[in-house]
Amino acid sequence: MSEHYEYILELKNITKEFPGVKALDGVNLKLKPGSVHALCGENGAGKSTLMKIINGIYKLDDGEIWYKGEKIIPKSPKAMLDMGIATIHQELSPLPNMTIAENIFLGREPLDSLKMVDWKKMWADTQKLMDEYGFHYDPKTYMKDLTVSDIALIEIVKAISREASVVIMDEPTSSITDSEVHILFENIKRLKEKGVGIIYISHKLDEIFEICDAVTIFRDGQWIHSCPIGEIDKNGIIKQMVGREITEQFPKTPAPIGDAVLEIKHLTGKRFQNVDFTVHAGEIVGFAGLVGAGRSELFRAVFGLDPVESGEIYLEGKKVRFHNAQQAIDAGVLMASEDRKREGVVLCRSIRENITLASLKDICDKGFLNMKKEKNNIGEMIKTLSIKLSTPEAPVSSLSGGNQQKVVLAKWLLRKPKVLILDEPTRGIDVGAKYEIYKLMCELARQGVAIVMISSEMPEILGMSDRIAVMSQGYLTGELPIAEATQENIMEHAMKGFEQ
Amino acid sequence: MTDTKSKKLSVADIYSRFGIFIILIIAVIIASFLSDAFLTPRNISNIIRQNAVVMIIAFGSQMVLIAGGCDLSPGSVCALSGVISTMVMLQVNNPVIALIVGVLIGALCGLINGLVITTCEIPDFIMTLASQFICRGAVLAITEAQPVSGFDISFTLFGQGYVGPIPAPIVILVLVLIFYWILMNRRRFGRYVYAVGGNTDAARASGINTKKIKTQAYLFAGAAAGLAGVILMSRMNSGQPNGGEQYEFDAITAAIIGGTSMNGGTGKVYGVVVGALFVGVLLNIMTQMNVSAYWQKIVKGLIIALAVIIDVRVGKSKKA
Repeated sequence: MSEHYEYILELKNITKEFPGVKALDGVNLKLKPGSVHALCGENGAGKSTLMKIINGIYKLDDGEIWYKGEKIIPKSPKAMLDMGIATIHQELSPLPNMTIAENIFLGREPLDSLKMVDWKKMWADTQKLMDEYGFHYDPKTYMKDLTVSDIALIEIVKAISREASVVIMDEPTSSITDSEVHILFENIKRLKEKGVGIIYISHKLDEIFEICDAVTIFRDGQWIHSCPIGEIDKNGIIKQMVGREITEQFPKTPAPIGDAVLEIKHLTGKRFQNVDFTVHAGEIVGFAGLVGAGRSELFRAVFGLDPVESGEIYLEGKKVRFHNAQQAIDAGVLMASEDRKREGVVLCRSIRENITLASLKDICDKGFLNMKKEKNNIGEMIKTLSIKLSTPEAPVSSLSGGNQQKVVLAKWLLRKPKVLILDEPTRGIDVGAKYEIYKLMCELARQGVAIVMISSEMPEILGMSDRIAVMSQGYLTGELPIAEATQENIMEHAMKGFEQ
Repeated sequence: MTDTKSKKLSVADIYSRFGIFIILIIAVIIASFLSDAFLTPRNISNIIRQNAVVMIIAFGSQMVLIAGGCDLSPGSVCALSGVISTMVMLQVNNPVIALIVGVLIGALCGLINGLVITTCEIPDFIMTLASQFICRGAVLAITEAQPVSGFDISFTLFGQGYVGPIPAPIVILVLVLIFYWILMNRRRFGRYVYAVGGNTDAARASGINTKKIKTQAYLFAGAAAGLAGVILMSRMNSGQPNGGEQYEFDAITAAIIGGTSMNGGTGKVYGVVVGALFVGVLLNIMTQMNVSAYWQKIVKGLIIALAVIIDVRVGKSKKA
């Protein structure tokens, strides 16, 4: 291989816009052959978007991609694979009813002279790969019989078996155990020796310092910093990741904080461990953390959608345990899911039906719906929340994201909440609607509602909370009064579990 | 028309709400030109009477479709309930008791469908296909495939009788229709059925017991099939173990042509009436024009495909 290029992959001034958001704004990245380049940034910093541009899922709006000294335009994941750029996604997508060999050779099965699949060769080749990379799997094992961590390793073998020159790894260690991390790192070193360039996306700073040669940091879709790993330390990376100036305005008005409304003691479930926590009347508590920290899972369990394994929940001093959402709602604990389309609204039904869906009991006269009462309630909610609509009879699918979210909030306001859990309440919502939702949160807090706001947006957490709780890997790793909270110390707590 | 409210609507909405109604009117106009015998009170009453059994079944099928399910069992449930009802009639000689038993047998079949589907989480299609076989097998086994007859003539009231000048099946049909409309539009239950079929996860997160609602929809469908069975056997003046064959498909056809989505969550009550009448009018005029039964089947098949194509198109244009 003649080295007529310094960088195996060079990204120049990459820009990608989605309706209303600039996901990437002129970012750069230079990957040397035989090196591992870490890509760091908060949730939504643009890492995944960049990855999807490199492997051809998204089309870039502006900028240049140079690969092996040539300018390329990524067309499709298949074309990029053929060119030698492989991606290992964080979300694994194995075909559970196929064997390891079939998964590895999917789409490029060896054929015999009759153009039939040459099974013997496929199994033999898979066995060879397994031996080469030090894995002890039978190529004929079905994927569904493997553990998540096995599947992750097989995906990694699949990617590197394509003799790629560039491998992009998105959180490759998020689902594998420590000893397997060791195997992975051994193989990464082997790839480096072969001259492969690796882009390594991870939140685990220790790993980055162990395996990477250089680091690039993104923030809010912008390139912030690139340097060799020796020129920066952990605190330096965190600072660069969060060091934005907060210019956004929040209509936060402090409300009098009353008694404890919701208390959680030693609560443990599938994705969260031993959480102790209290929310008071009139208080807005921001829950910060990285995606997958277990925040949504914790509150889904409190709300009765997911099972609780152990621990206690107290509502206004009384011990409660909700086995389904119905019980939680009847007790006054309400939750607006982060996935609005999946769990928030019934898209094909009207705005009217969606708003009153959880409070039909209140408009029932002797078992029959009182349409006049319903109309009054709807009119009141549309006014309070200033929902923009042509008619309440239009399907919710005709509304913008912000107005759909207002429909969800209207549904809960009609139930007079004691505790309102808002999971990413402003995700995908325009600035105007955001501001209105913030105002509503303040108004509800003033009325004595205890509010939990799970959010991945740092400015929102800092701008709206009275107190900030931080979770990492299922544990509550920090609680900060708003006066003491900074982007840096929140991020420190959010990455805590990773540094053990 | 059962829906009396007038609201502002988009074009897609107008189509999905009134499209089939307009097509029905056009069909009636064309039919009355083709045959002088078509637009007579006697013929119209005949069309409704002939379709009353399928229409009652179709109310249940539509409710299940709206709840996000699909019921393939009502044809067999209809036969089983109807035949058992005639056997009860032979024993107790009381048509009212026979009717009640028939409806209860149907409701029981529906309840079992619903409970198995929601608790064992098996596909609706599989479970109701299984009960289609089981119920048909059961009715053939208990009768040894012989019709039940020899009961008192009073049983024929439901299928052949009159209330004043109006045939009894039409009276029953209208009563069930009113009951069904109130259930879907003026009771909490109806809202929940639409929500569960439209988005089960969101319904659950809104505090709705989604499994209970779906089971209740199947229960209603079963009871409707049971009632239809009693009317059918009453009309034939005997318990026919082979009766009601393939009625489930006629019922689903009526619901779909009437604008009920196969994806759940949408469908108007009056749509199923209009859909059933449309098929009835079409078959009636073809019979009058001496079109063979084979060709009638082909036409029916084409209409189903066309109705669903339109449904998918309208759905797409709504999303865009």
